[in-house]
Amino acid sequence: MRHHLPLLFVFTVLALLSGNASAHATDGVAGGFVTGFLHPLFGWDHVIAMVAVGLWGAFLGSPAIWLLPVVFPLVMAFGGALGVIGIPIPSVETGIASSALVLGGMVALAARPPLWVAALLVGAFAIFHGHAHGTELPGATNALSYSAGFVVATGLLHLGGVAFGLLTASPRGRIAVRAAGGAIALAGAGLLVGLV
Amino acid sequence: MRQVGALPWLLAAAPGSALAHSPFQGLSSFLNGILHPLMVPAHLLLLLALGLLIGKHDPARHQPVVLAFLLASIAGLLITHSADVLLLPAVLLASTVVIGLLVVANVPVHPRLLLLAALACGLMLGLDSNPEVYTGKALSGALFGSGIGIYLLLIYPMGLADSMRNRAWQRIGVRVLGSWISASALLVLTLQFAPALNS
Repeated sequence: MRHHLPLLFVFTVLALLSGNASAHATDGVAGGFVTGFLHPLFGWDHVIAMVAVGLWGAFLGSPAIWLLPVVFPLVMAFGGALGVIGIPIPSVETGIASSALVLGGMVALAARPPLWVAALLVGAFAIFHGHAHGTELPGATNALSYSAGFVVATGLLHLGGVAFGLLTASPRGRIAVRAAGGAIALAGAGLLVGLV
Repeated sequence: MRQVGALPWLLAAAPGSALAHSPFQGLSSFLNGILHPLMVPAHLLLLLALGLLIGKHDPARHQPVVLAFLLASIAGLLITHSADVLLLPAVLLASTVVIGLLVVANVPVHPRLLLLAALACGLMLGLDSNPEVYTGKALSGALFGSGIGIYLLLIYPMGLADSMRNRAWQRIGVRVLGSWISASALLVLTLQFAPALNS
């Protein structure tokens, strides 16, 4: 009997963790994806910050141009996980608005910090963005397609920023990119003080 | 220490919600079977991640890996045809996170590990493909369709990753896809355990 005690413990724990069986319709998959995809696109604060990440990545050149779009979704998922679990992060909206101000400012000022500083800064802001998306996740029709939708939309916004940022190859394009960064920083400041 | 090491496995084996998938009305069971892996996000993401991982490792040199995946998925489908098997969504999601991170990390994976991953994923996907609404001949048709759907959904991302091995930006694109897949799966994996973590 003593030999069976660990097994008994395992089965007891598994039984306590069991949930309900539930069927779900496949139409929730497409709905969940669309809802998730539109979530970052319908929030100007998310849109401009994500574009700024791409712009800055392109501005910094290789390897930042690929490192930032690879790192951001993973760190954002970590922030989202905090939101799902219910761990509060103070001033999430302020953090998101600050991300637009700071990242846009970096592009406008043509700042070139070491790569680890850029990755750390972008990663820190990714947690705020992920947390905002993550708190919406438990209510989604289909959680997995919702999260895939918002991760893909976020990634496409990065790529949009990277594509525009590639204009830095020419002197005029460089001015255009810095001007876009300035506009994003101004919009971020507007979001912070409640004007936008 | 051994008890602590066993904790992740215990959590992975923890029973969660069983999710059945209702078929499209008007389509035959065979066509519904083909669409099944496409319409179940957990299957789709795992297949995309595994396809990208195999594709990054020169699939022409790893044909046994693809064959092993095919045989394992057929074995899983045959088992689920004759017995009710409940596979936990958390296991599929955890596998997706790990395989997606291997795509992101861009490190060469040992052929045996690749073979093991293909076997495990094929078996899991086969076992989790029982549509539950069909019986008899319709069930056989649905599972046959699922087998074809699973195989096709592995082959396409594998071909994509294989064709994107030549240029640096193409390899980066595959890694970005891997990070998207891992991030999506990680979030929902957290959601699976959120009730236990919150209590």
